[in-house]
Amino acid sequence: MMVAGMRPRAGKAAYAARENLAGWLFALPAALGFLLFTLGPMIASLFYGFTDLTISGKWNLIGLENYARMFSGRDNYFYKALWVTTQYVLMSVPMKIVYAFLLAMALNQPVRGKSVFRTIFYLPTIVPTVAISMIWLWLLNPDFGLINQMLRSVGIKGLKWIYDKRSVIPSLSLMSMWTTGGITVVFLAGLQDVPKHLYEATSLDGGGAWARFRHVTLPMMSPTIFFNLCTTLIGSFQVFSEAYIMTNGGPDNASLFYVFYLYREAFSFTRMGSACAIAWVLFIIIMAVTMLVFKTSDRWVFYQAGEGGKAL
Amino acid sequence: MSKRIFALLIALFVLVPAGFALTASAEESVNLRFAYWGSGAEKEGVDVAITEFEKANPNIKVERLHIPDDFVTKLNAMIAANEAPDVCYSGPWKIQLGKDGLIYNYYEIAELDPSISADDVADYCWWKWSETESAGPYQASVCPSLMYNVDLFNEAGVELPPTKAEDAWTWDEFVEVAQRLTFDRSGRNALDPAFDPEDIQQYGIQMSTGWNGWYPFVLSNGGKYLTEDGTAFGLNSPEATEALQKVADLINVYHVHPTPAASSTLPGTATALQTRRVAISIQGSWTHADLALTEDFNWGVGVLPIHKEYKSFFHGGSLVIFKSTKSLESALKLHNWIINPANVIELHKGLWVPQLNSWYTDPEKIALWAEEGTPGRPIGFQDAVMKSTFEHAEPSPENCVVNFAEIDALVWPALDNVWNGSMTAQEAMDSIADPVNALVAGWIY
Amino acid sequence: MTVGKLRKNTWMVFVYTLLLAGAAASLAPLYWLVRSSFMSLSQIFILPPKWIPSPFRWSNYAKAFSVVPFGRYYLNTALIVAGVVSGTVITSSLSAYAFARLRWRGRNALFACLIASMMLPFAVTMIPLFVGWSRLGFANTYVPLILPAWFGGGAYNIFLLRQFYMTIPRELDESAFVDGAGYVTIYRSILLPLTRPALIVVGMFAFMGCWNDFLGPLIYLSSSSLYTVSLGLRMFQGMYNAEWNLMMAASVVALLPVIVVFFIGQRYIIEGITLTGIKG
Repeated sequence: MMVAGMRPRAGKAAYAARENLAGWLFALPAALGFLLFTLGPMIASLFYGFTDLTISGKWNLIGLENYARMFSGRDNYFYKALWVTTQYVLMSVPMKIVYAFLLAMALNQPVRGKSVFRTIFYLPTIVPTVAISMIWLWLLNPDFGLINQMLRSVGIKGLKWIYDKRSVIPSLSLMSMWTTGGITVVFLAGLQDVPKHLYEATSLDGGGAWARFRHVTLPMMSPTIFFNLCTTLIGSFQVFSEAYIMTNGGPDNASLFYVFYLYREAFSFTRMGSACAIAWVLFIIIMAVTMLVFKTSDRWVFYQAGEGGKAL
Repeated sequence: MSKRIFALLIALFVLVPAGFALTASAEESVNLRFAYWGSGAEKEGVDVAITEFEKANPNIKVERLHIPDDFVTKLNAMIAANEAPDVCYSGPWKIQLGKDGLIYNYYEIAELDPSISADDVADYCWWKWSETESAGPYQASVCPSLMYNVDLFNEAGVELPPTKAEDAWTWDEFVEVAQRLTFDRSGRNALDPAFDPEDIQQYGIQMSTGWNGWYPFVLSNGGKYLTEDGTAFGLNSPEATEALQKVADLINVYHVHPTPAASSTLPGTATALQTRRVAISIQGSWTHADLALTEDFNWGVGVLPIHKEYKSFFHGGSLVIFKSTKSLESALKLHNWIINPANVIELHKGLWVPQLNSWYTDPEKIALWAEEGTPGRPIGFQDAVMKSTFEHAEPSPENCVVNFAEIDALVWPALDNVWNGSMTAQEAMDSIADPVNALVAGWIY
Repeated sequence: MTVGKLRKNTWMVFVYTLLLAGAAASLAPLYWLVRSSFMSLSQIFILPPKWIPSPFRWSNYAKAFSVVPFGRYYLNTALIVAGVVSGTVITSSLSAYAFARLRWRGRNALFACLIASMMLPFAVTMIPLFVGWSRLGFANTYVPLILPAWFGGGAYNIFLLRQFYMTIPRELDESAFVDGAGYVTIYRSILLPLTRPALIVVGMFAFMGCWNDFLGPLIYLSSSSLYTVSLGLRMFQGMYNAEWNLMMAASVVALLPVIVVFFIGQRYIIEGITLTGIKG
């Protein structure tokens, strides 16, 4: 769109050049930041992935050896970490999204104290991860934890939670629901933006609550769901502190999350080159999964006419 | 040229530079950076030793980097940043530092400072990355130790644990004692048919489930970490798995030992003993330092139970000297100062035990650290801990198994399954035999 | 009562039940944290558990402060936070202005790159960044923790501010332009004042992210005199790993400033999230 009133003496071309320069100058910090702190390190890390770089700083090119070691299974932990992380993503992402959506739907009803509830739901997300892990380590304690206590008081025998390899991932997924407040708030905002007349139209057509949800809320909310799905997926693949502080990857490596495995490779076993290769595999996986979500989004994400941008 | 002038010239040209080179420290002040971990008493003891060191060597200043947690991560970060300390505590990962050429081979530099005689250091105290290359001897030793709450024994009418290795409990005797000392919340002990294992108030026994907890029993039963010839994994041998299974049975069959989940809720060893949550603990001897600080608490030490013959071991970290140090001589001096029990004697009255042979044989030296009836050395200590370990010590697997750290990283997750009862020891050890065998590279003594 | 009204009431009962259950689930862990922080170790182990500590043990807090120099770590963290927050707010708003208002060659490509970089796991760049900063001699300083914030302040913040700027009517800067105002003047005297709430949001996010950051300080800081609150908490855990009451007290100490800032700025924060989530 053309700026309506231009200074009379400046020609069109001169004006464009000036704006071009100004644009670059204003965006310079971001551009430099991208080069220095994202693109540069990315290329370096790709390169290190083909070396045997250790902590001493010495390296030799070893071609695809790091990748071969991972995929051939000679590295005892790669597939385990991948499987553990996949389980966590598959479990925690739907749980978080559905729970957040439910809460947002409830908040979107004509209820009292809406902003108080909103604040309460958001509160856990600001707790430092170290403290979150601490709190939950204690809550999930099989003997003295609050959760088993409450279960016992209603006559249910408690679980071993993070101390059993069958329940450690479900436990950590459950715990991740606690910090779902950010998603709730985003959903709520989306719900408030759904035009009221659409609901009225559905009601007039004789549709009930389910029809309103199915034919108005869901389609209108699909871009928001899409946005939250993408960010939650990306975040869940990178879960780290829980394993680092709560379980140390156990029991029997059942919570050996991918980034924890990577961290251990880099900083405990000091195999920096190998760790870079491991990181790149994660990046490619996240890219692939996000792309997949994007590809399928044509089928289920509905954009309002006129606002037809992509969610991301 | 007169002789005097000639002598002066020699002095100028030879001695002065040599003097600068050798005793740069005597003239210039040297700054060393020393990184260490340890909480409370250990930090205090080491700080005192360093202050004394600075007094004895006025030209050396020691900057203390106390890193109680995530030590390896921090150290790796410092190394990558070319900011490695001159001297630091180290765990088994020092072997990698040695292979990477980052730290000095102690065998090569030992002669520079004769204050510690290498001959006095027990053979198994050396951290080696090859036959001829060592990161140094233990800075101090620790060993597995059986500790107990005397009152709980008396109240249950159970005879106190033996203090002489020749009187050691057999495993069955040990299990029975533990059963008589385990109580549910209704006050029934573990031998009572109505005993409720879901609701235990006091555990008879709690031990470390790391290798330093169970390895004495594997040794005692005739098992070893690797096969005798060092070509294959040894913990899947019947002798080893039998011993491991018996430890697991304490948890899952006899219910006299907390499950891993229950263990995580128990307070630290000293507090657990004092608050009557646990009657007997088998833990590292460093716990004596915590017990020494408890008030009005009657605790004792005994010998470990055995399967076939009495076996135990010392283990310990060592101090490493980085090649990046600007003053090797001063760094070595600091190293040898701290590893000399005489300079850190307070720590040897509880936290540590000495690593030099003469401190176990010379009565004067023994009196300095092992006098019974002191807060960290209860009656019976010299028999139950000092002699029993010294006379029956095998090398620690940390020191004699090549690639120990990486092998152990496979062993402990597998043992998780044994402790929680989902696998037998034999199944668990067999399940990792292949990946472990791929890492096995022999013994190193 | 009509059937419709009855149905509506049942529905609202259901809604309130859900909300109250959710609120309880959100608050209970925090309450449990605070409660345990005032207890003695033996009180914590009482079965069935007590909801209210008696007596209140303030000494847990005294202990937390005496063992770990939290006062010092507050200051350290505040220093880093100040650097990061100012850098983030200033440079992300500058960049966002360029992306929202100006037309220049490469704008869309760079914006796409920034958005894509949100997908990049921290782990990919962690090691080269670490090695790079170390080689430059900046390990064990605050530089690697602060300086990057002065280069755009992160894609998420740029994105968020751009969304805000796009809601300000263009006519405002156009008329200023006609009056002879330059780009800097427009940015400073029109966009900045009008988007103050958005800047506060970005500042808040930067504050909370920075205060809670664990991995960054863990990797870069080795001298304990430089530690941040998160590292102090971790250090405390290392020294008292079985004394839950003390660890809880230390956690509360670490948590308090964030909670305070959150309550001051929560209205803006929630508006901020709302905006990024929906439009775009």
